[in-house]
Amino acid sequence: MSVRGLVDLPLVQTTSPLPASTVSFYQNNLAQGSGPNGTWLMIDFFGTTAGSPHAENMQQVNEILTTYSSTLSLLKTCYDRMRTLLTGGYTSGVFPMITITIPAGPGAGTYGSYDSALNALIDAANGAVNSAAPALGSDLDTLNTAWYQMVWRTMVFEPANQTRADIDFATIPAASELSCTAFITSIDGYGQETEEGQAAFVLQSLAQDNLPGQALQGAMIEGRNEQALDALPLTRWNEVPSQPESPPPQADLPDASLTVDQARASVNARLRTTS
Amino acid sequence: MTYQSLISPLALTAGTGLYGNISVPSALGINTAFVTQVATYESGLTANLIFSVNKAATDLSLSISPATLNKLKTIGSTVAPALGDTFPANVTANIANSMAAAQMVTVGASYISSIPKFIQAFGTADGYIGLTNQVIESVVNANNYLGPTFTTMDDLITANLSRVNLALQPFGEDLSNLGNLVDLERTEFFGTPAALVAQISVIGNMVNGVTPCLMDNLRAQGLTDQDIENLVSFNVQSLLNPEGLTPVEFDELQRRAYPALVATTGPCLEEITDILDVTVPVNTAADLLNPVVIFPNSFASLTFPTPSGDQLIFNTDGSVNSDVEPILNSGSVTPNGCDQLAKIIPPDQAAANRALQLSFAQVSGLASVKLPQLADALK
Repeated sequence: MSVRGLVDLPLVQTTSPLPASTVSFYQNNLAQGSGPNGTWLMIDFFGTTAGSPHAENMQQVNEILTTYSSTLSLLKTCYDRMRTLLTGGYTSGVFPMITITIPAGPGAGTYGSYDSALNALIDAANGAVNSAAPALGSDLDTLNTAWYQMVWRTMVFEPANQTRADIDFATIPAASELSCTAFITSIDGYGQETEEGQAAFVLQSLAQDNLPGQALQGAMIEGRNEQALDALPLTRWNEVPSQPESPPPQADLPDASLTVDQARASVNARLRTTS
Repeated sequence: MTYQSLISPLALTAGTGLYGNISVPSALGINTAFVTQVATYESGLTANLIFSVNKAATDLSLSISPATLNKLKTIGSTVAPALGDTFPANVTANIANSMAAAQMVTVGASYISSIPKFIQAFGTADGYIGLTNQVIESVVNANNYLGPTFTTMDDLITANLSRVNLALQPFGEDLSNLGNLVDLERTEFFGTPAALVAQISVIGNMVNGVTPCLMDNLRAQGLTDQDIENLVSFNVQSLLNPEGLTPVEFDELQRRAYPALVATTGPCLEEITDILDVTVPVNTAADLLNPVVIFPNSFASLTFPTPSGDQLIFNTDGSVNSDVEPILNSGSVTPNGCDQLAKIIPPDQAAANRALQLSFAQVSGLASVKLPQLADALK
């Protein structure tokens, strides 16, 4: 190989290493993750399962609903009345000659069908939402943002990203022993991927409070320790030898070695052939 | 990412919960904090809404129309969907009868319902992330990592060798005829008498001297053996050699050495070219300092760096580009000037060699390369 220049390639003789079109291409097509610079995080694929940001966002939602419980009391009444309606609490008469009478309050009136009565309560509920929303002030934005983030990530973002990475749960083999065994040898490595939203965080979020789950968490801590201990000349004993203590029995294979007499005979035969 | 593949007791114990064996509890499951928060949500404001949706959807005796059911499932979707446990209106997805919060838990749980499947998916995602993020970060860094030092794409892909000569193949051919003429560790002395005599001494394994006939020629110019030793050993003051000759003293030795090189011809010259393995035709040893002679095929495309871009050093007829000396003396290149060298060798060669010294300095790491190696890489 010889060093050569870009002869007859004028389009790549650019004034910067990457032309703007190249940068745009990667920004618009590849850099779509939620990490810095559009990089990908593990939670972009399994955030719902790991509760990120869902656990925190749902907690935010719950706190806001608790704070504004009195503001939302009319809405709650609408929902309570829906249950009463559909369990027959407002119904008199015998099917098909039924009369539904919702008392004073949301959806009040007399109806000939559950469907029409329910519609009235739905309209009342939407009215209650519209009147409560302004009263939430800036917490309405917080509520909507938290909720939207969760729903969008679960229903749109994560499924699209799984498709992008060729992950299709429908076609993944259900019983891959090899993958599980390989995972055992990778836990320590995953434990070292400590960036926000990456492998260690996700596995930590999924680890169950049982023996294997706690062992998984411990193995990740062990993996991070390995990184720190690598700088120290300390003897470690936590790697289990993976070779058998006694060598396994050897197969009875042909020896494939000539005796001295056989070798001499072979040499002489060759000499006779060539002379 | 670098993995250490540690099989430890902890990893082995964790492994029992990964194979999906029903006799062993799973090591992984949906995040419990999320599930707990959803349970809290579903037992609050929207509890009876959730009941009502399920009732309306499953109890056919109520005759709830699909349109009404859909309205029931989308209360507040355009204002505050969390108040109606529904999807925001701008999210395109089908909402289940279990409503939004429960549906999110269902989706999240589905990914981990089979641990072996999840593990495979996790590994695939990890691979995707590692590879893709490398590319993304490279794009981010590409226009910044060189700072203001990016010149051209040719320079980038040739380790700046194209800054010396863009006609790489002819340049390589010329270099291949120069054997070990140039010590690339001392390109700042390129084209000087000291560089030549020092290289003869090193390549010829001559202690503190050069070939006998060249020694005679140098002595004929008034140089003592100590002077010659100073030349071949670059005994000039520097940070590491504070006791060396001053630059002025050293250049005086070079000035007197140059006529000795001019006088070195015939068998004496042949001895030198043999030692250095130089095959380009030369008439005197001084010709070995002349770029037009030693680069016969490529001198016309030799360049040197200037603030406004690389400039050609020579015209096609072998004369030095008249722009070279003014640029060297302008202070816009560092170190500047060629006047000192012009007192040692012919002024035009001085300008050209000074320019080439600057040119070679652009190639980072060149000091670790031998001239034949460079020739092989280019020819």
